[in-house]
Amino acid sequence: MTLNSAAPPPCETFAVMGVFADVPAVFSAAEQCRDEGFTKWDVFSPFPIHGINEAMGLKASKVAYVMGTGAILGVATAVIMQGWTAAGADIHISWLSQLSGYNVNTAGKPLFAWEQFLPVIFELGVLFSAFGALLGMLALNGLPRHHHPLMTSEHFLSCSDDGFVIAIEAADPKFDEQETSSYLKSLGATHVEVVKS
Amino acid sequence: MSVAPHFDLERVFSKDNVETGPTLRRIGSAVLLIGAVFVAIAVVMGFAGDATMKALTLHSLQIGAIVALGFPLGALGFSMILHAVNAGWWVLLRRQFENVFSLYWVGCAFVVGVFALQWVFINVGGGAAAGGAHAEAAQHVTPYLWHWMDPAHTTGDGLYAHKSPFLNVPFFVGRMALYFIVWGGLVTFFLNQGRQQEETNDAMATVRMGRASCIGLIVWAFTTAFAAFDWIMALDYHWFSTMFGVWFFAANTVSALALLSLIFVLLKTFGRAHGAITDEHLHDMGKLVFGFTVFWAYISFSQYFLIWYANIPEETMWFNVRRAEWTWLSWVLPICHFIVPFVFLIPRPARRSGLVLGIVSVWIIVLHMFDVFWNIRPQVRGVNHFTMTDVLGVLGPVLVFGGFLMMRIASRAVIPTNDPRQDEALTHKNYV
Repeated sequence: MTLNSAAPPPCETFAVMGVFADVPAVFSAAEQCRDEGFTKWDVFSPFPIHGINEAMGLKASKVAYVMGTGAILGVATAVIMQGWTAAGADIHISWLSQLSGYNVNTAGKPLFAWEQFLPVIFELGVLFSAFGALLGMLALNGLPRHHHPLMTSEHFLSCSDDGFVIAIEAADPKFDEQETSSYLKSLGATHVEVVKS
Repeated sequence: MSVAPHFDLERVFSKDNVETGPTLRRIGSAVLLIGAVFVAIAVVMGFAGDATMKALTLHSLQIGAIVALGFPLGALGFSMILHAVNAGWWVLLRRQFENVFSLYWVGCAFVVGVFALQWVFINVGGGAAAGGAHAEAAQHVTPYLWHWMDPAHTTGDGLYAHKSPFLNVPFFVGRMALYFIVWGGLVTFFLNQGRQQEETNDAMATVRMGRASCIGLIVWAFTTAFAAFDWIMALDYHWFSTMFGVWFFAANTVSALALLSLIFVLLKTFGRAHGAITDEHLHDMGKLVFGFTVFWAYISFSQYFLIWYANIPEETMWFNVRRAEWTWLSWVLPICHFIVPFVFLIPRPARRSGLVLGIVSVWIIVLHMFDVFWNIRPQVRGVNHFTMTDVLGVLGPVLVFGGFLMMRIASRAVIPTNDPRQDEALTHKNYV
């Protein structure tokens, strides 16, 4: 019945997993796990559940800081790149003596005219912050990855259909295989399972 | 599901929670009186002064009138957008939007007053003669707000001859009347439907308001854009900008949303509308203020950028005057009207905090006055500093509007009843 019968035999406990029948059940179970003080655990559901962040006690995502850094880098890149190419003929970098910018006279405007730089500054700011959002999201989620121990469980697959799963990892300081299993059972899980990695 | 916040309808609609009491009405009448005194002093200074002083009076009162008119126009347009998109979160905030746009007549009255005052200055005050008698200054100032109405100014002007089918006094007055009729009609319709729903529990009023908004928005967009052309852009009738109507929309909307955010923050601070106007609603208002601040900057910069790049003399002239005579103000606007509120409103907790949102709202309203000032006042050439007339003439109409607004808020419950979607508004929650 395992997902991949050719896989090497499981060795270590990865997590304890409980399947819940519906949203209210998993929601209140999540609130109780939060209040119990678990830190390394997650909720899996077929669709987003409004308010689950508060129920799990999640902090605001840090992806905004990655994005903000991307925006600042984009703006800086645009200013330096355009300033260098449009008004950089007199700027020499000592260790790259051959390399200098150009002085491009565009319609008699000042060489370093911030007005004409602004559309590119805006575009690169948006572009780099989008890169920051995507790459930051992937990094913070630990993606991409080929496999996850939870996927060895047949019951885990129900969370892509009609099941709601709470998995508490063995790395959690409050984790105890027996106690955590019975705890999830007491929260109303219809099925509790120990997942090996 | 346990996430739905519990609310107690008895408590939300209790008398203590929805009524503001007589103190606000008294403060309102005091503010109204101060504003009226300011306007009166500005007018008297105009009558007593020379042609330059008369021009300053007209321009500063026009700035005040446009700011006082901008709040209702912005509130009217935005509430029509929210009606048209069937916004449920907003229905309990609707009363304050109604309070703001019901006072459209204050700004209209001031615009008519300024138009009349110009006529009086020219025909009774002998301003044109005084201008000639005045020591021949480098900048010849006449007591006109709309220079195209001055025959001495337009004689032999080919551009004016070309534009005269549009810019002539009878058509100008006719357009003015049309704008007032259109805005008055829209305001009356929405106030009546709201009152009807309140009294008869008629859910269909919501549907009627939604349908009317779809037509009303188009009419409103054309009338406000042409009002901006007539009352601001045509002050320099050689100049033209196709962005100007959009700028007026952006500026009015951001100022109206800031004013409404301030009203909601103050209502919450004084313990009213508890449970009906929550941090969630403040959060949404904060998002809208943030968004329209960016939109205002985008429009204002686009207008400047295209004219700067194309470098056509009759277009750049308008910006040249502003850059040469009001250099510091030309830098204050992008920095203080865009970058400062942008940075302040970026963090999520800031948009949910009444304190931060209140401070930013006051800041934006003040900067909006500077924005309108920057658009109108440089037409008085050579007086590139603030005068007492500027302060009195700008603040006067704005304070008169503020006084009427406080009295209006005090006279009605702060939230509407019987809206079919009030539960949606009460349980409204931002998940991100």
